[in-house]
Amino acid sequence: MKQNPLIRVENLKVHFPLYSKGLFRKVVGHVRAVDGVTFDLHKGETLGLVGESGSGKTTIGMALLRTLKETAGNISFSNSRGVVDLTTLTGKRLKKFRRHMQLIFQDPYASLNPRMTVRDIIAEPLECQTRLNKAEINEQLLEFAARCKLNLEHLRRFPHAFSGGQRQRICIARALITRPEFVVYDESVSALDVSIQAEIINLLIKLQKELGLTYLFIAHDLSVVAHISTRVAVLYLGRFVELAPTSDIFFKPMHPYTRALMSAVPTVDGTYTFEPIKLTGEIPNPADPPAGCRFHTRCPYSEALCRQKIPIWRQVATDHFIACHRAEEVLF
Amino acid sequence: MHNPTSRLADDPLLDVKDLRVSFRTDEGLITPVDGVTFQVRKQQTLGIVGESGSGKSVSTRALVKLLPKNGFIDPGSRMNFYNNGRVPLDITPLTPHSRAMGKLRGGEVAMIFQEPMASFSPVYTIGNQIVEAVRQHRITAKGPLAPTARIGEQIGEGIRAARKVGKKEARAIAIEMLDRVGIANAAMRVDQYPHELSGGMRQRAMIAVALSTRPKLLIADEPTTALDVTIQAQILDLMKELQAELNMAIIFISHDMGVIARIADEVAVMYLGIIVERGPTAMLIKDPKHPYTRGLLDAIPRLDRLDTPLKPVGGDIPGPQERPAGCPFHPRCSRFIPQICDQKMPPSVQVGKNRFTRCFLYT
Repeated sequence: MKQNPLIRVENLKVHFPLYSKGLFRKVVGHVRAVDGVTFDLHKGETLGLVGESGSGKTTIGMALLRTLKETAGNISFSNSRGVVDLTTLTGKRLKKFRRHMQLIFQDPYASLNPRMTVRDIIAEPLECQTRLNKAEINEQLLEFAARCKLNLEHLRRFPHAFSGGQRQRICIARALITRPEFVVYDESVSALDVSIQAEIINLLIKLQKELGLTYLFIAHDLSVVAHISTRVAVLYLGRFVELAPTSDIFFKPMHPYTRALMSAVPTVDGTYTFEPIKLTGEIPNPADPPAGCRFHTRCPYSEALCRQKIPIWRQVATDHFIACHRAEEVLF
Repeated sequence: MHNPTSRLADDPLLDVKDLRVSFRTDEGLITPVDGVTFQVRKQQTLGIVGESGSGKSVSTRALVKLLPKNGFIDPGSRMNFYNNGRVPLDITPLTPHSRAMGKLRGGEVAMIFQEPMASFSPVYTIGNQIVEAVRQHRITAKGPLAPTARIGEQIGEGIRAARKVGKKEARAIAIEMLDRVGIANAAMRVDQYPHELSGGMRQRAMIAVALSTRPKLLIADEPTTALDVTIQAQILDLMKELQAELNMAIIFISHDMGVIARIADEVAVMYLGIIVERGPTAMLIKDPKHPYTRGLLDAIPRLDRLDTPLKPVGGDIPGPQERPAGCPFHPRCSRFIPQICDQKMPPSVQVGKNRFTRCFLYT
């Protein structure tokens, strides 16, 4: 496990400028969507990203995939061919590199072209990214269709003939056919019905094992994240508040925000694993985040220190990191 | 935590029998709600769970006559609303634009939806929209009459009381309601437009609009689906509180069994237009009878079963045109009985106190 991480993210910041009204559109401030995030992604693992809307989950995914330019920070990607600093890749080199990283969206209805057959949809990445001939493409196509449980009959049809679960399987086949090493799932199972969702989650876990994939799994449904992730990172207003192995995050959370989040998950049997914390209020505006610890406005344990000083990112147990001044004091 | 089983009084507010809703489409007649029977008891919450296409929203839209133009309710259906006294009002024959329906909808039966932004008009302030509802539906209540008042005085008072609420009073009610649903600084918020509020705030305002007319029944259609879990928990708590305060019944529609478990006294599980199982929440979750309910509960990712792989329900949900003959669940059912399940629609069978299921395993 302790080899070089596949992806190393250091102090990643993504800020979006806010403009004034009028002719000159002066920059009047920044939305700090992601504001200093550091983490490693190891080969074959799944990192779950959770947080409320507006916390910056999607922005992190987009920055890793280079569809958004970072404001500061480093993202390095190391595989068998060496280490690449993703932030320096541009133009042709970036385009060539994209086959190593793929993305699967939330809405399988919106992400498939209705005028293309399923065969064309799945083969398109290979046609763009590789110089394989027709026979080779066909061979790959059949392999990945089979992996995603699509049969030959399906390949001739158009997307509208499929249900939500089947469409998401088409999206998965299309994303994986270039044999990427890293896949970002942005709410990829959120739009699916429960009985279908389970099947897709199982498929993702199976494909990860077979192909040795590394996942970044973004979702708001915490139980889903728990099932698929090796480790989970909790985001609040653009910063990590806690990062730990899945069972620690769910059953031994240390940060008050994580505890509040975990205790808000509606469970079927109505039981809690620990005393629930109820949060009042809503997530503040990321253009004007609170000083000090960003969570202090909603935290039941905040004190003067929390309002003044930004808590440092520190390790509290093996692989368990938090950013909180008072976690140990208030836990018991 | 409340105990859902202890207060199941047999006192229905709404009694729906054999509700059938169809749509005329270019591809022919489709029937997304095909014989649905349930009761909503006074001051209780009925949860309706189901996946997309199960007909959970359509059946409640039929209740308030908000179906699209090509939709119609089978005249054999019964929707009895026991508002006051023993004589029920059958909603089925009322036309959508009739006076009686207009009084009912938004007045005694209020609704809240998943998308609060889509339910508010963007060009009126929140306050205006509450005032409108209040003045439309509520008549002034100036407290109970003194028992010593003469008959004549009482009648006179009654006539005067039947007036609409005045604008000033309605605005005061609006502010009071916004305050009640937990919107800070209600006196200022009342003059704001919907886009100025955050998602959670808007859903609170939506609840304020719906409850400002003091409804007997609130229909909540996926009211927390678009919200974050922490906000969802707040809204669910708020709804429970207000329910106790206003003595209203709730129909809570959701696809999330966890949410239903938290809020509902009784659950009805829908699949492709029929209620496959209904009963008291805790019992139904502990001991599901219908194979679909069982499958659904097994498919939910649960924190207490992290090490076991999820058990999906096999197959796909068929579209509205390709509803299977017989029991609609039979192509996906693990306990399918050939020659029976694919031939006839299973009848509703009682399988315990207040528990019903539609499955041939129990006939």
